[in-house]
Amino acid sequence: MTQDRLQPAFVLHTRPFRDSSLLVDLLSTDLGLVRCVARGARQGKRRREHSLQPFSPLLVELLGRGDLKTLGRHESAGAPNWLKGKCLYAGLYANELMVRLLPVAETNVQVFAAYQQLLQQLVSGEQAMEAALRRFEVQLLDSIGFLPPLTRCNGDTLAIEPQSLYALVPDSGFRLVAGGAESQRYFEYHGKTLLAMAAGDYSDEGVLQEAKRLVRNLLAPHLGDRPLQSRELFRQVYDR
Amino acid sequence: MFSPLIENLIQALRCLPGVGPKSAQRMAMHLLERDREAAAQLAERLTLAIEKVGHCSKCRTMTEAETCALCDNPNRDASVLCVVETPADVLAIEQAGNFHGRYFVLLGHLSPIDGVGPGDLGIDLLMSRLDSEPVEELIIATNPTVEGEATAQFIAERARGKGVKVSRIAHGVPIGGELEYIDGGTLAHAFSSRQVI
Repeated sequence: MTQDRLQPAFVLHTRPFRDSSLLVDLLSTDLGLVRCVARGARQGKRRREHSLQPFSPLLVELLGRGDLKTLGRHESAGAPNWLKGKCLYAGLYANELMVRLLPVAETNVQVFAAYQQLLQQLVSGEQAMEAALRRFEVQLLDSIGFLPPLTRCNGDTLAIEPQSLYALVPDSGFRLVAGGAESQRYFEYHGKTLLAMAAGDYSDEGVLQEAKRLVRNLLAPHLGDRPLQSRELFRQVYDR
Repeated sequence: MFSPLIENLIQALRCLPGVGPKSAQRMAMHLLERDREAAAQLAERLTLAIEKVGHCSKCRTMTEAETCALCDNPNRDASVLCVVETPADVLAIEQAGNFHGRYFVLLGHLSPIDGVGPGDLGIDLLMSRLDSEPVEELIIATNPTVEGEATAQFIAERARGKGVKVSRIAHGVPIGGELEYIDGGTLAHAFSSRQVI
């Protein structure tokens, strides 16, 4: 179907295409993740390319019927989010995650809203970065059906209790671990963490750490054996 | 339509930027019909350049020598090192004419989604230069794009603790520009990096 009106979008990634054009991966409200060609975007003192930078809110018109659209009119839709320090790498990570995981050309309003919120929090500084990333990852996983229920376990028969320990079973959600709550293994999580994640509350440092581990475990099967480059980059810059 | 050799030549010419089928055909016809001598020279020089030209062992720009003329020039200020993305950027800065230090060419920028990491940009070589040369200031002149900024920050983090002053070129309103037509991002930058006069 031809899209003939402007829709909000964010640039996730651009790469040169032919002599003077760009291939652009966009996150749009109507079409979700979509790839388009920006013709002549690298011509004429590269004027149009300035407005096709990641993290900047845009209004775009996408033309064409196939999976590969043509970028029509586009304009800036607000101040660009200029990320700094760790937040810049966090933003690149979010972009890579979406390019890798989101299905092409499927409306995904939840992810768009979550991404907008993430950018706002990343602009405000590094203190809120980890929590903002976890909220975004959970929303992303949820919207594409990769998130097991965080408040029910054992095949939806039991409610998750804060004091108990739960094991993640691939494809069937969480299972109550019988016995002590102390012998915590890599794929086991506290009920407290799961409930906090469901509520989006990461004020507890322990919760934040465990949530990070859970999200990594949930993402791993969908990323396959190709690691996330932005995560590797982040590690190389800051974990030295 | 053409014989195989001519067809091959036309195909080969299309590797040039901005050259489509029609221009490639005109170029091939010109070389064969009117100027065979120049064509032979072009072929010879192209072969030679491809064979000999490599990268400078110090700054990674393109040269056929072990080190480039800029790195060899004793009159250049060895205490300032400017990091750029491409050899064309070196040329642009040289033409502007007010930088007299030395260069380091990354030959790209960090781009996680494309799989371009620090290893591809010779950042280890840059760091070893900071250790072995009397560099006092490192000027990072990568492009003011998100990837260029990520590259700049990466280098700044790595250079921290090496006793080198690290600076980033300013971004702002171009000379002769009009504020009305400048995008919001550039204007915001221009304001945040304003100077006292």
